[in-house]
Amino acid sequence: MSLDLIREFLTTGSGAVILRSLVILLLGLILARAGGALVGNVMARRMSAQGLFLLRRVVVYGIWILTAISIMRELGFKLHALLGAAGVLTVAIGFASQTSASNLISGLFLVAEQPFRIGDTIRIGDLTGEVLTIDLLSVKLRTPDNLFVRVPNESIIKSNVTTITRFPIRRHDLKLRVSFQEDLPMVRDCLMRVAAENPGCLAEPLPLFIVQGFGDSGVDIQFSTWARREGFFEFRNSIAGDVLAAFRKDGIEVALPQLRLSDDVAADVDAIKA
Amino acid sequence: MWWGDIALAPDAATFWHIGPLQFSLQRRPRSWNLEHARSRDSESMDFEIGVPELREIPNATSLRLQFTNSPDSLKLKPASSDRPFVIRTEAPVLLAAGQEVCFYVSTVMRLALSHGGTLLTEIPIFDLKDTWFGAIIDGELCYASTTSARADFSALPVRPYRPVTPVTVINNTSKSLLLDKFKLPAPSLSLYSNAAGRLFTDGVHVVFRAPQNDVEVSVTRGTNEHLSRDIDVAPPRQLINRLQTFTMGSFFK
Repeated sequence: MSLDLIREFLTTGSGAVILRSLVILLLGLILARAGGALVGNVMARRMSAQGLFLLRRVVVYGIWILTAISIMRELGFKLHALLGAAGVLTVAIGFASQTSASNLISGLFLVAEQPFRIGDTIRIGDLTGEVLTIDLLSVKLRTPDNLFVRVPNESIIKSNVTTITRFPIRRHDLKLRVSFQEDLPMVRDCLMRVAAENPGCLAEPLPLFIVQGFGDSGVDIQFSTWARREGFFEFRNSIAGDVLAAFRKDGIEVALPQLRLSDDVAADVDAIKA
Repeated sequence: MWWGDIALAPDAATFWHIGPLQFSLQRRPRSWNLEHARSRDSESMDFEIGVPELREIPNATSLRLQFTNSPDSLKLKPASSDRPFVIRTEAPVLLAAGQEVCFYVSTVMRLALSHGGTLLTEIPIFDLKDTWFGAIIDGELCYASTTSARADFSALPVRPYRPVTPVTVINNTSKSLLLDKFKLPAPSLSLYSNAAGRLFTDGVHVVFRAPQNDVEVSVTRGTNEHLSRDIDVAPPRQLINRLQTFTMGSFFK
């Protein structure tokens, strides 16, 4: 008796509609999952990580939307009336979600332009971190002190972004100030010797010795050396230590701020007047 | 040959001094302990092999090679460099138009320690300085080295840890060619030995062609007039493919 009732409910009227809708929902979910996995496997070697991530989302969301439309049709909704209402709703939502839309479009530009990739270390303003994900609305970073930072895509598009890990080698600029009494060719030779002996310093590109000008208390020098990106911070520490040690050994004096004091006030006044 | 199997009894040790590199191996019940250190003398002629004692090596780096039960022996073998060399000539060399020359260039190799055909570790014989070859954006990380670019093979000093590469340069252009720096694709070269244990690699053949100084680089396998290929020591780490050959259009810069 009860089986007959169930059979009647499922084969006629609203029961059949609900059953078909459930089947479509189930198929849609399976298809979305399988489609996402298939895209992931097929395109894994051909696309970048964030491109693949985006494509999988497009496939999964696309199947979900088609599933939802099919279910609504099955349930008897008139889609053209719904789409008309959706048009009005879109304007309202558009006004309400300007920021999200801006972030979304910025995200698409970020994916297309690829100024950085997942795993890169980037600097945006004062913020430096490793890129964890590049999503449609935001980029997630992990800072060196292990904080999780969400940066809206719109602000990335508007800012100067430095990709620190783009190239395999980096230049380190060491700013120095040596006393006016020092012989600059001797200082240059000393620094070049430090670069030649430091194991982390690349032989080429050649180190640069640039006299930047005369400061308040000494000659300002920029000493630029190149090193591999890996271990760059260790290199910075080691080259600074080596320069100090070489300066001490060669008797080169690092300039310190100087203030001249005199107790002969009258002579100073005369000097100023003169 | 000074390389091959190193067999040790339990708790025995051995000490080696190959040019700038000193290392010792000690066999334990479940491990082999490796200690090594390198001096800064790239021309060192020191050479002691298989001294049956445990010597203290100053400032040594330690590595424990762990096994379920330590094997009776490990295999020690020369290995070619893992990166190309950018070699500067000690003095610039000018090759006149239409001339051909063969330079003998020696480079520093590495030592490979393996067991049962599996590589355990590689030990560089000398700490080479890194350098960059090519444009800043798309160049290549290499090792820096210098050469006297000797054309006379007999004038070449014999150092057991430095394989010799014959580099033949042919200037088919109408102008003299200044050679002061070049890239040696060491990972693409096989390593050989003659009967006397002298190591050498495949040759490198470089032809400059007119009119735009196009460079054609090829690797010549096998023997040299001074070095007979008696023993194959190590195959190349990577084969030169079309792309790499193309890249080496900037072989000399």
